Amino acid sequence: MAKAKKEVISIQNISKIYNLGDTVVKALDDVSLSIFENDFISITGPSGSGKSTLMNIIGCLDVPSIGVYKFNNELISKMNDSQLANIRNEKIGFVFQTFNLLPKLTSLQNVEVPLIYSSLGKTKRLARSKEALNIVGLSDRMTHKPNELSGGQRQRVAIARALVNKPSIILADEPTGNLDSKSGTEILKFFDELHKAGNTLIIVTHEESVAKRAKRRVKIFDGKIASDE
Amino acid sequence: MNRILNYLRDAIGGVLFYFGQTKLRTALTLLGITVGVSSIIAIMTVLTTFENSANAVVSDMKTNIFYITKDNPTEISFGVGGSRSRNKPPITWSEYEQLKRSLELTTSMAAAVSEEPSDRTISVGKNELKNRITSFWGSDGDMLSLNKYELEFGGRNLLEADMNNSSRVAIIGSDIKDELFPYSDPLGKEIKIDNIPFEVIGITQPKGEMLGQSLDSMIGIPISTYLKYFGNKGWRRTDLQLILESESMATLDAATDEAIGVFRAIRKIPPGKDNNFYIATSDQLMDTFGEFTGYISIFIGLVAGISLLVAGIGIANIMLVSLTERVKEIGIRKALGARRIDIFLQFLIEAVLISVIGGIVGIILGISFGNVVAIILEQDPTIPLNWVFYSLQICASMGIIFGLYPAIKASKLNPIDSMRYE
Repeated sequence: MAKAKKEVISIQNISKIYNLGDTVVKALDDVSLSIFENDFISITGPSGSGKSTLMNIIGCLDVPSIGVYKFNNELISKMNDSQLANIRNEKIGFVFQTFNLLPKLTSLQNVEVPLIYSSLGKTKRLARSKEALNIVGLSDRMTHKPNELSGGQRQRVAIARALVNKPSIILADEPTGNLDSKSGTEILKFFDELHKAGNTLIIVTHEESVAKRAKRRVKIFDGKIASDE
Repeated sequence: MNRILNYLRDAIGGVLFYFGQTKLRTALTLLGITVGVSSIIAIMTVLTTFENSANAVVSDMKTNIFYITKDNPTEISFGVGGSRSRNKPPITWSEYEQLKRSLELTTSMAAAVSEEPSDRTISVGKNELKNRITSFWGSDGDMLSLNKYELEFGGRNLLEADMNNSSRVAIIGSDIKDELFPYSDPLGKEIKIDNIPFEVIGITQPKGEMLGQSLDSMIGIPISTYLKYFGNKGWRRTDLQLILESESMATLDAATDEAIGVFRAIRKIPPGKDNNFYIATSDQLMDTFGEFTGYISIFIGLVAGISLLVAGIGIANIMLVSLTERVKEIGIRKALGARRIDIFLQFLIEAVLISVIGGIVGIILGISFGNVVAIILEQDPTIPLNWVFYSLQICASMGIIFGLYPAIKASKLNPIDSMRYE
């Protein structure tokens, strides 16, 4: 079964080194990790462990100092700024702790933002965005602005935005961190559904209860992978 | 291509929204551009209306006409160069007669003494016109045809006999007829110029205005009569203005050259010395006017340029403020796939939009204000289209120039740090 799965993310011996004047900080130290299609992975670790750095690299927001990172067999670690932007746009759906919706736009316009940067016409954009909002069950909130929505609803708009470009992976950074437990559970249930529907999910969290839902749990400590089970 | 359309839509929406959020600040930035552009447009509107009416009158005048005068008349009317005229001899009647005998390429010619405007009092009975006469001249019969005046039916022109007898006869413009003879036919009636009685022998058809001055508030008498009753210098010393006409436009240059040569010979000016008289064609008069408006344009351009520079700095400022307020937004957009060029163009388009919107408001205000002034000065309203296009170009380039730095700065933001920015 495992052999048949396609490798989406291949990280080989990567390190991220920050040079702060006279001190050198190794945020990631020789990390290797493979993520396959339809995986549901949690990445946990205390703050300062390097999990955010790992997430940024997986999310193509940053590149490793040393090592090889392949995404769908494309070599990411050598890509330039605009190639990285294209990968983020087409292959990765981000879900953030603070939702990161644009406050002046409606739900529908927020969901549309990634499509603005892919060469898609207005009609297709609208259809895709409506479809994505429909998946998260917010068809009746399309014209609402973020400040008119509850926390759970905002996060669902953010998930719709992450799904709208049909990405290879969904990368969630503390997706329930700013939600009350009821909305948090709702969102997590929704992640389960996305997983069942065949999506690849990576959730970065420090909450055990969230991490437990994942099928595979990676723990990171001091810039190294402490366990992967 | 779709991408570009996408940004445009997005940027326009963004700018309009942003204007809504920061009305006062944006309005103040716009104000700078608006003031600069509207002042250019207003002044250009006024100048264009003047040029239009002057052009209309000049093209109406026979262009194969040229003038010999002591001084450049346009310089005098603009108050420059008056001091130079003292050294120049007046153009005398005997010079006129010699010239008239010698010139072959000039088909008709008149000598005139004129007061433009004139402060003579024109009266009929108890009605009088004072300080309302734009032209009071003494000349001969060719004066009317040279100036393209047509006589109303029934009247007659000045004749040779009128000159010889210094007859007290007058040709009046239609304005004077309307003012002093509202209900009767003035032909054959008496009209007084500074209390000296004249007989009205002709009335000219209306010619309209030039540069806001009526061409019909005119009165003309035989030159000999003028010198007898109004001249204080006598035949020998009175300065005349000569009006000459060549056969056609084609012979105009040759005719002016001939006139210059003959006149220099009459005055015995040795070769190499400057003319001590002034010779001008209607085109040259227009050119002088054009030069004058040219200087005004340069001056206005300088003033407007400075105000637009200040406005441009305002745009750069508001874009930088907008940038710091929107660091988080830029971070989010970048995380969602915006490339550097996307953010760069978004900011640049916004800057161009701000300055172009300011420019459009300025153009509308400028055209309105300029035309109000034009109407007050009794000119036909106009829109200086070329300046409208220049202004839009200037505004767009200002948006690009002053939006460049903020746009580059925005495009270089790092998505990770920017998203955390509060």
